[in-house]
Amino acid sequence: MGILKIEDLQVYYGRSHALFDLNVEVAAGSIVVMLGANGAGKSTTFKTISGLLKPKEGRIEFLGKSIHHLPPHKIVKLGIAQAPEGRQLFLNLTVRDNLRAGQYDLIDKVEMKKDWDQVIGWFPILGERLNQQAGTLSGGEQQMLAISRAFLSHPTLLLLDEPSLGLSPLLVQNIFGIISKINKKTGLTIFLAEQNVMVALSIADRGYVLKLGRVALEGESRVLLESKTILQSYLGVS
Amino acid sequence: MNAPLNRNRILWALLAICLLLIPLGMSNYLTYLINLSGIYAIAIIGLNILMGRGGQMFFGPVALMAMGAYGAASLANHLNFPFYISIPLSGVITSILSLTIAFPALRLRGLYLAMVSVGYHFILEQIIGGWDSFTGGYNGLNLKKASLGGIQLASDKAFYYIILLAVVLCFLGARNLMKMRVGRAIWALGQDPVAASIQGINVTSYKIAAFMVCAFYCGISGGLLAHYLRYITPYHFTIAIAIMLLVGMIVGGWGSLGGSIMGGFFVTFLPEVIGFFKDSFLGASVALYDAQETISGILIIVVVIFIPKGLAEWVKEFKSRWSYHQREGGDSDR
Amino acid sequence: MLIQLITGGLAIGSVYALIALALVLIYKGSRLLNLAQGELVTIAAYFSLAILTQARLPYLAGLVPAVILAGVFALIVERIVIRPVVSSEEWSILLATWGVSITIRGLIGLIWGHEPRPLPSPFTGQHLHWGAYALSAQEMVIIVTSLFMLLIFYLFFKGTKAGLAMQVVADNQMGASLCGISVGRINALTWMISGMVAAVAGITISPIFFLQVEMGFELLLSAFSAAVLGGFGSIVGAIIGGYLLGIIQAVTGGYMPEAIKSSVPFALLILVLVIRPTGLFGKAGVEKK
Repeated sequence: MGILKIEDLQVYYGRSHALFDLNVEVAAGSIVVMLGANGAGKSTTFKTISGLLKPKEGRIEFLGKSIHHLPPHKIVKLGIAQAPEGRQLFLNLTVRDNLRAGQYDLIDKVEMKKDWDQVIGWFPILGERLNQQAGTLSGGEQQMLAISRAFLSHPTLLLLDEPSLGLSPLLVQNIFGIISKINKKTGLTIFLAEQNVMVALSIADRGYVLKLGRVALEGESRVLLESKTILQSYLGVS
Repeated sequence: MNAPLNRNRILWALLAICLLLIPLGMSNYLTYLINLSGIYAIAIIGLNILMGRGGQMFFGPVALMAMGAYGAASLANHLNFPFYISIPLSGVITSILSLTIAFPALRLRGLYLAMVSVGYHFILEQIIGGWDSFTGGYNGLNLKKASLGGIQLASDKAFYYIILLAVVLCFLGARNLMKMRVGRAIWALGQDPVAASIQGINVTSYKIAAFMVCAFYCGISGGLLAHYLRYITPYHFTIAIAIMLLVGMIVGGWGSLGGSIMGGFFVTFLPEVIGFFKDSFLGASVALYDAQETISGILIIVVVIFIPKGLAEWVKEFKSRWSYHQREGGDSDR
Repeated sequence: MLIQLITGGLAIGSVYALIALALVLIYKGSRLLNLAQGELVTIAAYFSLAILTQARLPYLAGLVPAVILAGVFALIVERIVIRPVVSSEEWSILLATWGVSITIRGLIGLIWGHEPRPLPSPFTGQHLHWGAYALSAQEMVIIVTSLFMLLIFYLFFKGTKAGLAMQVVADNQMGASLCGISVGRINALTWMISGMVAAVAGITISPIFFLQVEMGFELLLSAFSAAVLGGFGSIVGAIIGGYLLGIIQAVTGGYMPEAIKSSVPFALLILVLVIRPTGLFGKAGVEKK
């Protein structure tokens, strides 16, 4: 059962046609990954889901509700959170304030505390740096902060745009391990955009390959992993 | 091929004849308004070169006009220069004096330059008001009547022709300047100073050049004003007028020379139009000045929201739809 | 004599500080310079005049409704004029705020006329005696009320969710909306707060300086100079810049001819921008617009 359904989406980025006839479905409790090279349209898709871009045609449905015409803050309230391209952290504010911002909409103090403790448990380094300015964190720490901030809004669907970008292989393994753990422990549905094919497919249930704004290939991650030659031709991956 | 060109020439000739004959049929007051429009149009051309093309947010053109006005007045009163010498000379002097703001401006951009130029205007206003011996302070300064070869030129109609000539010369001068290397460099500077300097354009020199050209035009405008009105006070050069010039420039079209002329008319005729409507609809008891202020303010807001590209752009579109033979590009193109 | 100059300087400095704060808040939130800020001060002062003369409320009680009214007025301006142009070019927005400024001035002139009016205050002409010195009571009121306003603002900004939202929107609008914050609503709130902060400044200074249609513009320029002095974009800088400018102006004014006194903010502005554009507290490399 899909909690997120994208149907026949046409999106323009300024004057250029960025997404063509996009059809994607994300099942509840799963990890789905959208693969593709730079400029393939992954971030455009994610921005559209979160309401930062509006599609020219097509629809996006979340939990049966049509969301593509809604403003970004309303989409967050419905339960979609994103750690976006470029992270978009509040660099002049402290780590604590960044995380508090993530919880801006919430009221249930008990649940908020539980989420907070969980996040600090997964990323203890953030707990050490709570009073530090976010701009002074390293790349990896900022990525952890971005993911944490998104998680703290207690979403039903978590979007992660290229979490591995700019991180060392060790850090990437670390973060992806935590992402997988989040999904297994809490059942949170996760939709990921990635260029790092292998790591992404290793934790995902299902994958879509995007090429020049169109879905070129889709299937269960097991199947995609096995057809490496096909992946190669679509992504130029070795 | 030949037919459109001939038609063009005929139209321009007709226009020239109209312009020369117009004042004969008009009231003095209307001529006066048109004269003022021309004077302000020249200042707006200067502002357009510096701000519209050169991209410098400069709110001090009226301060420069004041320099030109008082300069021309002094040259005429103390040195007995005739107006056709005092005005251009005053333009040159203003141009040189403008270095006092051009140099600080080199280090400032956008908003900061805007506010500093406003401060510059205020300081100059204080100087004019305070320097009684030279400027006559708030009591104002009188000028003798302008004379050409012994004939006194004081009427509105006489000045119509003087101002018309000045506007034509200034306009043609600006247009040619924009086509020359200096003009293109200034335009490149306005578009993207970093890219311009990478291409080898000496941004500093051309910024200063833009200021000096603007000052020259504003100086001439001020000089004309002084000789025409024959009485100038600091109240003729307020910051409110500076803002109106800016609005006129934007309404006419940012960077457009033809739009500058429209802007000049806008600046002069708007208060008149407002006054007319106020009298018709609101009655004479309502204070004119405040009604003008209110309506001007609302008008500015409406213009910004609904006509961001300016009237000249609108006219250009109209023109291009009307005669598709015009390959040359017209007079107000960048 | 010096003590009185300093208290005078602190008083006018408080006014500059509040208006500079209002300017910087709006700038941080939406990257625009509100040229109508001075007029928001003026209209607030005239509101209080209307309330105090019509309703015959005591001075301090009359302050509160005037401040709230000013906040609502600023909110309305933001909705009607600023919202439609917020995505336009820089000069467009600047011009739009200037249009608002002119309109307000015209309206004030139409309704109240151009004669300078005093704002009735029980503190006018009263003096506090401190040792051998007699200090103007109204100036003391200005200083105390302003400090109180700054304190309330601080508590709001650092202690409430809305305050955090304002900080967040000022830092990164995209990030803010991804946290479920409505940027439009926060901008409206920012304008309202700016209006209220500036209102306190205007209302407290009016008994001394008299209400005039033109008072706003000079206050705007001085507040801008103060903000630049402190480092434009820094809230703390704006406040300190305001007090500093006030003191400098008062002290130099005590020893210089009157005509020069009003040029002090501009001269200082040009000086700062040419020598040290980032001001006292600004960060180097901050995006200057």
